[in-house]
Amino acid sequence: MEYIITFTSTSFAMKAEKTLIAQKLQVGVLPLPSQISAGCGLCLRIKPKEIQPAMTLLLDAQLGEVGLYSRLMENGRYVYQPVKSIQTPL
Amino acid sequence: MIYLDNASTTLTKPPEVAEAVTFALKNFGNPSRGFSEPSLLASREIYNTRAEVAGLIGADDPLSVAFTSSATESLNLVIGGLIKQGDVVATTVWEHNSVLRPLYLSGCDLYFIDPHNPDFKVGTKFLVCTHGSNLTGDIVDAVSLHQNCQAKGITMILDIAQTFGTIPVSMDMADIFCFTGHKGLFGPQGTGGIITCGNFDFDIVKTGGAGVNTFATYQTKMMPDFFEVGTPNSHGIYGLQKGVQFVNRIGVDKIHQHETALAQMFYNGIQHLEQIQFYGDMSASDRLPIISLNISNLTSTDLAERLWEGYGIVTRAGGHCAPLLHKQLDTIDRGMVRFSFSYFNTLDEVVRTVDAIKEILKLSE
Repeated sequence: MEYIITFTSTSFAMKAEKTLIAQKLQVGVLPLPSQISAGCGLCLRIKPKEIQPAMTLLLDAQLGEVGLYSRLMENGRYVYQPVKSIQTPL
Repeated sequence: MIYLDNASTTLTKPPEVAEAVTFALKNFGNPSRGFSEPSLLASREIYNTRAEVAGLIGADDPLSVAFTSSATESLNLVIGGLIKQGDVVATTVWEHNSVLRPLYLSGCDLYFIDPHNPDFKVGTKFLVCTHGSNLTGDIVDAVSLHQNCQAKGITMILDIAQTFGTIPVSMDMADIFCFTGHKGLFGPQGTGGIITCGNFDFDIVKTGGAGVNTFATYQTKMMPDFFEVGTPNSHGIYGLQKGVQFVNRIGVDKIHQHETALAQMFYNGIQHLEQIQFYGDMSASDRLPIISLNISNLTSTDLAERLWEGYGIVTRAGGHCAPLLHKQLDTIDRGMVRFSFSYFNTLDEVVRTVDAIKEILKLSE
């Protein structure tokens, strides 16, 4: 299992990636999955053991609405479950 | 060639600027539109450029910096997005047409203040003004002006085309800043931007693909995406990043000191010549590195032509897109010749330019 962090703008995704990498957290950039939202965008992938410090950092990063989803592989397909959504100050 | 038209565009750039543009042309994919390495490389470097620009002005959040194609586009977007018909708006006669024409177009109730001694009308919603005159090199005390605006609930929009990278610019000088990349920041042409301090309810004046919300019928209103529809000039923006890095590395104070010394030396070399008329406050303690002048029996275009044809000296003659200041200074008919200095100009170039002017004076007697 891993977590997917979503944003309402690709600029926010870039800022979040920079913020987390600066704290040595391992993140990957992915296209925003269609299962989460139709259309385009970027999101971050992160391992469960790093999700807590990551979300704490993002709370202070001025990123607008941030979504958190779990991602599991089931029967050869990814399944996404919403975990929570937080509103960070802009 | 001696290039003294840096207020138009700085010609000599730090070498890493062109190297960055070349690298970007060869390696950048479409930013914000994909997650492949070429796309992400472009997206990340655009973000890094925001961070450099934010660092230079002292903005906390890199996402308060949006990129546009120029200061002119920035001013059009900001003025067009905020100022409505009938809004009471203050400006100055120092302004470039990139401020004046969008204001005229807005249909606002426009009036003019003295930037050194502002007298705001009751009900004023906005002040839109330059931080430094592209014509005379005179500087506005933007911090004081902004404090005055804040006390009266006026939103201040500052045109920093001539000042960003040339003299210190800080976030306490305005609410919204419009900048260009190709002058004091040593970036490529086709780069510029908007820096906001706080949230503003801009009307949509530009819309299209933004890399998110594909199926929505409206354009997102978030900074910086709001101003960045369509594929951005990532190649130019990466070049701008290197220019801003150069400014941050050398330091604006040191750049300003060097450029001011050159301009002052040039002025000192010719100020005693009776045939020359200078424009602007030459006694001011701080100025942009701009000296504008006329020679008694020549038009500005005659002098600029002689400087270029005879000595390879590049200046700017004519109206400099500053119609109201020319009108105030009574130079509509003949214009002025503007000499504008950069960090990469040298003392030797100043000496040769002074000599050239003296020779032209002798020959035209």
